[in-house]
Amino acid sequence: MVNLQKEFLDFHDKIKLSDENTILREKREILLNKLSDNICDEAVTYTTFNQGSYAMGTGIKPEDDDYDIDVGVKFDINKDNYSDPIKVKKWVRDALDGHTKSVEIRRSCVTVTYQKDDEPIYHVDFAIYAAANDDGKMYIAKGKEFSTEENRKWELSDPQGLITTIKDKYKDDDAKQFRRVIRYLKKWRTHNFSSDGNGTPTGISLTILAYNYFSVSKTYDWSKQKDVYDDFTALYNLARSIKNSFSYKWNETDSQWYHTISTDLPVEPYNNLFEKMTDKQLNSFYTKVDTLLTKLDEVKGKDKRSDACAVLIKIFGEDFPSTVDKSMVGTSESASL
Amino acid sequence: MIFFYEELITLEIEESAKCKFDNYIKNNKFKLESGGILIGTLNHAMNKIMITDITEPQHEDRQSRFMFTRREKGHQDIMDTLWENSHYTKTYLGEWHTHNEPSPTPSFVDKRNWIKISERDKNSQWLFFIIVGTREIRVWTVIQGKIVALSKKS
Repeated sequence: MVNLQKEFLDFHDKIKLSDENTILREKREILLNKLSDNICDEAVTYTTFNQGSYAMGTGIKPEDDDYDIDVGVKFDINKDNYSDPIKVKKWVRDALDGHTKSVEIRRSCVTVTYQKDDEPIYHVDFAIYAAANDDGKMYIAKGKEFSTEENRKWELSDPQGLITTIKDKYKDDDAKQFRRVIRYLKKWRTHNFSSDGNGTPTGISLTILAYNYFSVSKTYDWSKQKDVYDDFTALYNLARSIKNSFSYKWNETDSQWYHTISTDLPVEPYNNLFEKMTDKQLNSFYTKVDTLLTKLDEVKGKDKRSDACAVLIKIFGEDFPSTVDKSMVGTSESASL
Repeated sequence: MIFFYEELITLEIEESAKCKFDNYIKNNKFKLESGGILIGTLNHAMNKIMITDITEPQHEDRQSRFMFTRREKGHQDIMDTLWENSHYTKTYLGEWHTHNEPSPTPSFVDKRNWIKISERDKNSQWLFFIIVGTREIRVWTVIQGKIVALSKKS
């Protein structure tokens, strides 16, 4: 097969959403200032931190220009003194209210939506935490404004532990390949799953699958005295390991065998990241991983760069670079009369 | 031989390619119109383009006193070989043909043809059109749908 590392790196440059993205940073700063200016007196001190894929260095640019920014707000409160987590969420909601058309309390966060004319849409999600608890752990405020009692709760959570866990798994250039491959997987997801509903594995679940099954793919080039990375092989091996981690399971209700998968968050609350997907949806996820592998095998069999790229474009979409294997000359006619 | 258009672009015709043009002038080969494609490399950073190779009339082309029709066959094969051997740096850069007049000017057919070629999708952003006259060689390019002549650097 042809060496496609340059194409993969160009592809990565095109899809990555880096922490240095200034527009995202600006939007975040504006809201954080607004929060500190307007927050009610009852609210105690708090600190904020970045969370989400963007903080883990695994974010990709959204294709529909719908950017998500995740911010954690840690209040120095003991959850036991605030039996109603919605009260704490309202501190944030009320401080930001009126800033844009929409500020709303969602189940796991307070969401501010920006939309100006034909500019991209920005969602800034504020996850609200109680951080001064008896057990020294952090709890996230869950529930909507008018949720019933049992749907309002403080749930054990360790967002910063998650970021460090992901970030510390590999070092330096190995870590860069790890993050690149996660981004490839996410881009594959964008192009191969129809809706954003529960039928699509979440970004974090793909990240954790990579955390569990990725291995660095590189060789040492003695003439250049440096490591040469092979993203294609890294992705291929990861896809194969993910496929192998599915198990075959009998589903009583559907009276069918399904390929299913489960994987736990490596930090609190250690929940199964696929818990919201049905067995049938998991089986369709399996089929898609299998198709991915078949297509990657097809890439392996190509001798021409343009043919290999054409298959990869089918997997990842037009952001994957195409190369031309020809300079077209066409025809021409001239006359001197 | 170097041509330029304002500050925008510099075109250099390498000696080997220039020799081929000169042969037409030296040997007065203008009885039939001849032509072919221009092949070369682009240096985007320096806005400099080099014509490294040209093709000459191939078997399938049609030549007459006042007309030259270039087919794809033959020229594309030469292009493919150069494209691969140059590790995909040499590319198609335009057309040339001869006119039996000392200081050549494009005919209506020429102009229409140049505009048409410039609109083709797969082509490089810069394309050049050379007419070899009995006394001098002149070069044109198409910028935003308009044909402009390049000046020769003395």
